[in-house]
Amino acid sequence: MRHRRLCIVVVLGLLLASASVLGAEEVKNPNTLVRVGPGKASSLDPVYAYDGYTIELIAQSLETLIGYNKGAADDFIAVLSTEVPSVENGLISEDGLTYKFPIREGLFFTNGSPLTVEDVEYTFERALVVNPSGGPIWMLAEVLLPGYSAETFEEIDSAVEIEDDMVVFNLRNPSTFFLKIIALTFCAIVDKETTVALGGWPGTSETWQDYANQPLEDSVLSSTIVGTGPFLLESWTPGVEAIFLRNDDYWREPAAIERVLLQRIDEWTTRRLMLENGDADIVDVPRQYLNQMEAMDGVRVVRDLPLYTIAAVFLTRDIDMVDNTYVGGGELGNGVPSDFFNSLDVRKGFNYAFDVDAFIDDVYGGDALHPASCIPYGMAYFNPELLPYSYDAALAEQYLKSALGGQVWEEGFTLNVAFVSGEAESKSAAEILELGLESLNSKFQVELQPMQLAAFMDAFMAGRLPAFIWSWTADYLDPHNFAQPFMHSAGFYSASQNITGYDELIAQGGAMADGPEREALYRQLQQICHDDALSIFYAQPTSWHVSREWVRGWYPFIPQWSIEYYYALSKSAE
Amino acid sequence: MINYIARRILLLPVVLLGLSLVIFTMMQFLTPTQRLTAFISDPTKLRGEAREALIEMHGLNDPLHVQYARWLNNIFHGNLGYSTTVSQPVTHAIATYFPATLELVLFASIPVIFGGIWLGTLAARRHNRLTDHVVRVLAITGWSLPTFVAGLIALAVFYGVLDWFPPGRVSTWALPIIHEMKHYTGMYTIDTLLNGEFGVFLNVLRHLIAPVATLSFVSWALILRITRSSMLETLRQDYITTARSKGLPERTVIRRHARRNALIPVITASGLLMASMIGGQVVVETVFNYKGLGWWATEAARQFDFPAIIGFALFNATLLVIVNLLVDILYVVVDPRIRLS
Repeated sequence: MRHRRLCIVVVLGLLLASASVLGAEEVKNPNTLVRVGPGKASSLDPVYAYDGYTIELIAQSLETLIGYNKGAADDFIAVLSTEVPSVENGLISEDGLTYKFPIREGLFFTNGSPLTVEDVEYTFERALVVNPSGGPIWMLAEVLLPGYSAETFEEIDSAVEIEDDMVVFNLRNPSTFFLKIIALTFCAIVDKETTVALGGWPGTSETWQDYANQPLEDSVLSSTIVGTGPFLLESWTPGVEAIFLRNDDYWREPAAIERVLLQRIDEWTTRRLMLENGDADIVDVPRQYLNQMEAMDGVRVVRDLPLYTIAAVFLTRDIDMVDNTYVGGGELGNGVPSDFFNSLDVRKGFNYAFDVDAFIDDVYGGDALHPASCIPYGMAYFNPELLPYSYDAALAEQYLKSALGGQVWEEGFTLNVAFVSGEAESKSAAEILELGLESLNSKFQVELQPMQLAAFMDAFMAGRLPAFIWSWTADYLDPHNFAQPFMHSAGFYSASQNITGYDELIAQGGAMADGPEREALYRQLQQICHDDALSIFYAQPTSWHVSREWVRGWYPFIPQWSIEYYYALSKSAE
Repeated sequence: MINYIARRILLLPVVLLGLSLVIFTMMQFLTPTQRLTAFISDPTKLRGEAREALIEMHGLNDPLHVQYARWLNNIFHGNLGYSTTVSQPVTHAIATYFPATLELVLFASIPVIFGGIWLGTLAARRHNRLTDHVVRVLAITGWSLPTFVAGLIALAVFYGVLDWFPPGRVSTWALPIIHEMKHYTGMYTIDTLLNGEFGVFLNVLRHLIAPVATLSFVSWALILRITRSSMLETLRQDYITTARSKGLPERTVIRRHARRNALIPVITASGLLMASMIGGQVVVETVFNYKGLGWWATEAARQFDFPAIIGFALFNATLLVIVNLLVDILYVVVDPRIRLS
């Protein structure tokens, strides 16, 4: 009897053990994809979609006219348009000013309304009408309107027109990156009927100004989404979670996954345990934990994905000195004068004093590139022959000795290097610069200045920060999207730095058709950016993707942004 | 007593007004650009002209009194503003996140308050004996352990290793049911029962265990120690000696004569503890992915979402005043000698 009981216990134990072993190989929640990360989506209205999580949320239900072909930077597939316009197929005019998109027939929004060419025209006109400050529509406005926002409705009306079953865009200049903009999620097509019925812009010229620069909270589409896409948004708790249900009537093959849960989880340990236990399929992982993830069973880590981000130390050429607490005494010796970085010798000396290789090894474990200018590696017209400044104490000393007639070396300086507090990578960059400069001359003092984001923004936009650290990520993959913010007198960074003199070249580059002439112009801009040492361009990091191994079909949906496209994904053990 | 309650309620708007003034004035020390970051999702994409237009649009450059009057006017119309942190009106945000925190705190209050009182009484009765020492050491351990450490340990053991109590309010499979069912209170335990979803109810309970246990472990020390010291003091009173000398059973002496009198400070502490727990379960809510009021308020503070910060502060102040009032009323119930006037 005792032996029998013992046998039963042993058999049960073996069964349990084998079940747990087998269980480890089984796909958890096979029909549901769980994606967790620390960010939040801010709206369902594409006109306001300017951050990764919002774009990801919208991209599952709304569709664009064309899309990036499996993550390629400049190869497109037709989505709601039947063809990708080109000069060859006659949908782009010879002068590059007219783009035509034939709209696919027989498609329906998830509320049953048919997709019409009027919906497409309305979508773009509404975007240009609403064009919220701080939103993404400036990219469309830049190529379709005379200015960054419309002065009259006629400007909008003439920019987007209908011709039979086609929507026609009339560009101001032959902007070769127009297709790259049209493929972005803020150009996704909305249902006119739904938008108007909810109280959105009725599509009339008389009312357009009532909706111009509309705040997000007033948008009727901020919490409603009706699209043609592969998923319906089943529920959305802003800032917390979104649940998608497969659109079984989708015009292409329905998605493999039945339901998707997009969850916001700030705490990394919670996310990690969910991934480990198989309760989460795709997880946002901080860079420093990638090695741990690679050692985890059943988890796939894809590293070294291209990331079109440039991190830099920005040097302000004309510092606003009035009541400025960031410049010390405002003169050499115990601070910096307003024109400190107007000296090319100072800027070059600083570039040579920054040990980028040490920074990339220490902070990124080698997983970053060292850009030579503001145009990142992998971007069209990138000049591989241009060599970045590398750490050279002798050259740094030489330049700083001759700077401002030798006064910099003689009198020294105290410089505040500002960065957003909590951003560890920026802090490390400031420390490397501090080390490089202070080891040259005991009269050189670098103070690290961590700042709360709002105060940082306020100070750098006012031109009050002598040196500050931040980065820029591409909106679309064209060098214009880097030359403008880094070099134009009205650019996001360059305006604060008081960089002038390159506006005409940048405008030409943006308006020029692709080809050798444009390449020569961007090479020239890169050379200027490098030779003038506009900033210290110290890193172009790489990206990564972490998921359970049972997640299949992943690719970067939009190459420059880390967002998921659930339609491409499935879950299976094989 | 009704007179007293009415006066306390009438005092509430004055308290709130004062509070709103303090918070509003503090926010005005920030520049319009700094306050503007509350309205934008990606500051790196904000151009100079766009920034000026946004400042104008949100009236951030208006005179102080105009901004305050506009805000007060909105409050009187039931509009506390828009929380950019969670992309919804502040009133909706409070309605969404308060029930989650309340549910967590109500479940935690049972072990924290009743467990604390029971253990405190036990420790006082066994003064300086092994039970007393063990209970005190446990209490001090819980009190001194940072909440995030206790939470992470609980999560790592009960979810990471044992897979018993997962984070979140419900499991993935139950989420569609939760979203489809009718919500009466926003508290999932009650709503699932009212909707007849017993399977989901059990799942909700399963998700509550780890955060409630963590919250209890780190919070009960306060109640326990106050009960113990109050009980020790009461047990030394003459009337306890009299009760014992009359031959009353020890259980009756403790329950009817000692503990009831010792409860006054415990009620005060419990009320304040409950109010602070409702307002600030940031760590537990973050670690266990339990999206409640504390999580929302912290996120709002981090993002300078000042409509949310002010809305939360007003709500919290109201709650605190109400809890204080309830505590005062409870005094009378526990000790009839106290008269409210």
